[in-house]
Amino acid sequence: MSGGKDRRSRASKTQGWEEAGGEFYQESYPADLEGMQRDPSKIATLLPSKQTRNATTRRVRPAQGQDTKGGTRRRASFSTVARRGSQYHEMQVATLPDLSENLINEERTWEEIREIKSMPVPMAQKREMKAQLQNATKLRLQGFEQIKWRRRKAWQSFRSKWGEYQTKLELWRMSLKTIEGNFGTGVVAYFLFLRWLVFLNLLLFLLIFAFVVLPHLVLREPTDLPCDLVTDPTSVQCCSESYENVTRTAQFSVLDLIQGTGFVEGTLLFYGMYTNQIYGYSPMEDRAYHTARQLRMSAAAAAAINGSTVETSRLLESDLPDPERQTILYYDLPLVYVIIIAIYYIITLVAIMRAVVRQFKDRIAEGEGLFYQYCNLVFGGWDFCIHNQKSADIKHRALHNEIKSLLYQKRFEHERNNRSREFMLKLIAIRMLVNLVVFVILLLAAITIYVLFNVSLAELEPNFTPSHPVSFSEGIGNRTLYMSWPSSWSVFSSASQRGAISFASTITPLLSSISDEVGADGGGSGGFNATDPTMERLSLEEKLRVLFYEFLPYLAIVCMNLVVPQLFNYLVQYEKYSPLFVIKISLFRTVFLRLSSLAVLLSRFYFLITPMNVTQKLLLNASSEQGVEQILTTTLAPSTTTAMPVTTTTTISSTSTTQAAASLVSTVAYQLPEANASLVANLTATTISVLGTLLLDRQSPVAEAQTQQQQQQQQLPTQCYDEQNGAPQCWETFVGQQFYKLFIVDFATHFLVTFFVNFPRALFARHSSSRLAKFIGEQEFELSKHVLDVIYSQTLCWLGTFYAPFLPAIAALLTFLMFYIKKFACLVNSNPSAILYRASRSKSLFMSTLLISFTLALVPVVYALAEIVPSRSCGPFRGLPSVWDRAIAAFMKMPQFFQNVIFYFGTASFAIPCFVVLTFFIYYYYAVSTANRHMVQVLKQQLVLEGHDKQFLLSRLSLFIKQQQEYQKRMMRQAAEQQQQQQQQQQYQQQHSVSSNTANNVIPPPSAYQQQQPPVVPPPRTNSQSQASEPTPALPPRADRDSKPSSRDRPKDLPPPPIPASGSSSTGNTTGAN
Amino acid sequence: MGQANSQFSEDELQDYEDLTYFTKKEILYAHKKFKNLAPEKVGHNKNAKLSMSKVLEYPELKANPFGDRICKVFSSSNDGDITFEDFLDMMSVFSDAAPKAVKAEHAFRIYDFDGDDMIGRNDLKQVIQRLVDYNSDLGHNDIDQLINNILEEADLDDDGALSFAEFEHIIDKSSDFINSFRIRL
Repeated sequence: MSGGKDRRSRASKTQGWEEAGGEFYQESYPADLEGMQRDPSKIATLLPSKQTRNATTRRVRPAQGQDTKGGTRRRASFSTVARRGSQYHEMQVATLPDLSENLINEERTWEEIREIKSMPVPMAQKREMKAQLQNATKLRLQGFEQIKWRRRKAWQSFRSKWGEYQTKLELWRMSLKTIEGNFGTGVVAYFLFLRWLVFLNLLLFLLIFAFVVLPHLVLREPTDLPCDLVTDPTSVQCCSESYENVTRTAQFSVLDLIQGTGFVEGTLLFYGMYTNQIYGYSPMEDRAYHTARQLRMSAAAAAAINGSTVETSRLLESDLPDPERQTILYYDLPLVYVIIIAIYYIITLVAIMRAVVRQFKDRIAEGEGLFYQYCNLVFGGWDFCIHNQKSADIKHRALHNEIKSLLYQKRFEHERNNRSREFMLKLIAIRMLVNLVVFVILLLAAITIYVLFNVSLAELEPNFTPSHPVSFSEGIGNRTLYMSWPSSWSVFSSASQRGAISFASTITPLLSSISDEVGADGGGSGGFNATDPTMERLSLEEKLRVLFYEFLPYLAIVCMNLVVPQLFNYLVQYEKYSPLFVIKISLFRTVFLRLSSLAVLLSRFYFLITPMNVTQKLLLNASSEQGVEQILTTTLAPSTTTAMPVTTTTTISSTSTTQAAASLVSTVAYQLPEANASLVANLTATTISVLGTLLLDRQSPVAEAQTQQQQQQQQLPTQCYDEQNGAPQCWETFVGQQFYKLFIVDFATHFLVTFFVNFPRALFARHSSSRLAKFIGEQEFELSKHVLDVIYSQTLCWLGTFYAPFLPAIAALLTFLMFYIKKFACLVNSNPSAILYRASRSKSLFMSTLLISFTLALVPVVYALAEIVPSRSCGPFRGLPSVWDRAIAAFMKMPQFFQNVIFYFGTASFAIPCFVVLTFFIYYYYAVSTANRHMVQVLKQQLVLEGHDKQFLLSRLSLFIKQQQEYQKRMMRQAAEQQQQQQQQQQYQQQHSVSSNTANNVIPPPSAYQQQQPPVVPPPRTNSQSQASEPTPALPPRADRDSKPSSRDRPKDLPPPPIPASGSSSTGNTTGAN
Repeated sequence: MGQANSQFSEDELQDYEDLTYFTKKEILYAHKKFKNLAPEKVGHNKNAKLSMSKVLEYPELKANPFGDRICKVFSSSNDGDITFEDFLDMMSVFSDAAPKAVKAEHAFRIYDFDGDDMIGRNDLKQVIQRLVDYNSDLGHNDIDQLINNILEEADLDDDGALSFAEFEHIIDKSSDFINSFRIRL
């Protein structure tokens, strides 16, 4: 019994042993020599290390639930339980002292029954054990205990039920199984990753929906002042109204759905439609609102009469009826919008980090050599879920490759360690050079894309600028004038009679090229094509030319994505990295390549927005009293908030600053009577600072160098946006539309490529046997490429969410569909890859790539939120200098105490101690980890020593026992001989020839054994000696071994046991003879 | 399902549920799968003993290089023949719900070809050969090298073989084992 308790084979052999030794084990006294005498090679099984074996499988049990279980009960049933049962029992006895035999109660029994399943015994036996446990008398639990137990039971059953439902509801369970069966766990990890993305996007969308979209739908939007009450045509109200007019007139069209323009633009899909109003939520609101409105209207009228440009701002509106309004609940959508977006990114970051950290731990372990590379490969290499012979063959091949490459790596490492200094220097130089080349290639790629964008736009310009707007509006005019942004925009640009201005012309084709691509990619659904009317007027040649130039940048991107990775793969050979690292670094380079095209796109947007941004700043400036009022009414903050926009504008244009300063001063004058002293001080400080910068600006020659046109334009910010320069009326919505389009185009590309390119290829390869067909058609499921596809679209989603709050929902939906596309690509189009993808490795691949692109996507978003001026005519942040300002304003409204606390975090008195403490912590953990590492070393060494000791002692012990057995045998024989001799003598004496004892075969004592030898002590082995060459003393039990020792059982390689001196025979030795 | 349902009493199902990592439905499903291996035989006697060759027709086991070892380890008669209860045990261990320690225990037995409670060099050699398929061109040198590497990594007490404790340690560190040592029902 004992040692190999759960060893099936052992168990069958040790039956006799067990029965005889039962009592002795119950005393759990494994060192008993008596028992061992039966079978010396079993000594090893008595070692404590083997005793705890079962305990490991039973770790799951709660620490204190352990067993005080009925030892007697168990013992009583000992004979009825099959061998396994006895082993189980014995384990119990061996590991857990049997303290109180009668303390079994229902709960414990129940626990025991639940533990049975973790035991490695056949079902029949488990059932017996369960029956035993159930039938045994047990204490009923009383009172509270009973309730507690009931609750636990109920909870358990609920959990199992829940688990069942969960597996039933588990998304794509069968698909995953099929993929797993054919491609192994590494590829399934990819699909799990897809699923994870779907859920992440869904969760994030729910967040946005609940806090941003839903209030918009449910709550009633307070109406703002009508435009005509405000004299300034560039006021927020007028801009919003004109924008609303534009969007409201749009009608339904299919193309708009794809482009995100027209009527789609007027939905909540995009940023532009979200209000900048604060939702009130009170019965008093109406009254309060009306009084406020009246007040404001009279004020506006008075201001209009006075001729001063008073703008009734949103903030004023919300703050005027202060006494009434502060007491009621309200919902500040703009603020919530910022906060939710921030939370959106934080949640994403946390989700990614959580996944990454787990991988990171593995990587660290690998880095420190704690990772069992080879063992992992050998013992975890086979996917037991593979159920397809073909995949199994491929898996064999993949494992073979992996083993080869691992061995190669080992050799490679060896080689690396032996590299000479010269060689290292050369290698470093080569690596730097290659990295430089890669950098240059990336840069060239980016520049090429950029240039091609420009070239294509420039080439398209003559085709478009003169004719396009006209024809476009003609073609679609009967439907609506403002059907889509490009059109309305072109209309504006033509109306301004500045069609030749570069920006207007460059942007129009850009837009239409994108829309064209959408049309083309969508399979020309419905025959919609934005440029159709134009195209019809052009000759075929022209058409082709236009088409070519439209697609030029996209073609370039696709080609680069095909060619440049090959180039990278070629270059990486020279760097002599380890094979694993090669995969990683090539992947990351490819990621940067992909992202660079996105970066180019973003920069296009940026340059498009910037001129408009200038206008926005001017507008902001022109109505800077709004900012002043903001100070007056909302905060007692330092002048920085107002000073910021004002000073920024001064650097842009001096003329406008004059205006600004003038208006500022006028406002100050206007406000003076009612403002209190501190505010006055505040304002004058601002004015002075503005004037100061103004003076500086005046002196600088840059100010004079500005062109007349610019000055003109800036002096007259009579429009809500910079239409001359081709800026869209609501640039946020425009950007949102672009991302929306890109997202859809991206998805459509995958769809088309998978079903209409790769699928025919695969069919071709399958049904044709020629080598060429195989070359063309056979595709491997190249994981890194597919990962990139998904991560790219996810990056688009992150970039666009702020401008199109529904983008996560679309992303979730399309990723959901993407699952099926990729499944098709995986199962139908491609063969399993010959590269072994391990689940852990591929997971870390996804997550680190995802983290990189997330970080990179965050940069432009943060910049846009903090720096770029929001549109004046749309969105929750109209009229603010930046989006983040809204959050700052809210922060300033908080009680002084909180502000102080937050400010305190920013001061040195907080940062320095914090830094110091953190450093201490780092040092502490570093010290602990060093100590631990050292400890691990020591313990490992000790383990080796102990192992050697164990082997040595075991060999000595078994030798000793053998000797004793031999001796006993000899003694027996001698005794038998003596007896025989005596009998013979008696026979002689009695003349009686009956041999009664059959066992007494006459064996003459071998002469060799007569020599009395001292026991030979083998010299202790040293560490360096190879263990494998010597027979392990703890011998495996032979299958045919019975409980009686006999000479044939003796291992052949042991020397014949020396016999102890006959005089040392002890009485104890004779007990084994039975 | 109805057919399978009639083959088990409620008590039996309860027993199975208590003693495996499955729910009742999954047990019935497992029985359906088992029955598919030999419809008449199992239809006749729900706990019929199927020969190893029959059981190895189960797709996952068929493709698995260790299929015969798995059968041997789980066979209650130790000869590779599998009854439904053995099959249920097997599937329970390979299920997602089974904890790592239970899986490790059985994996150890599967890889321990000679049954000496240690994974020695010969065991390792067999494992590797089965993994890469016997007819691959992995030379003896490579295999020896690999075995040496494995032992170097994991044989903590330096006795030329992996004991269970050492094996469990490996499994603890291996991030892939729990994923790969799994058969979805």
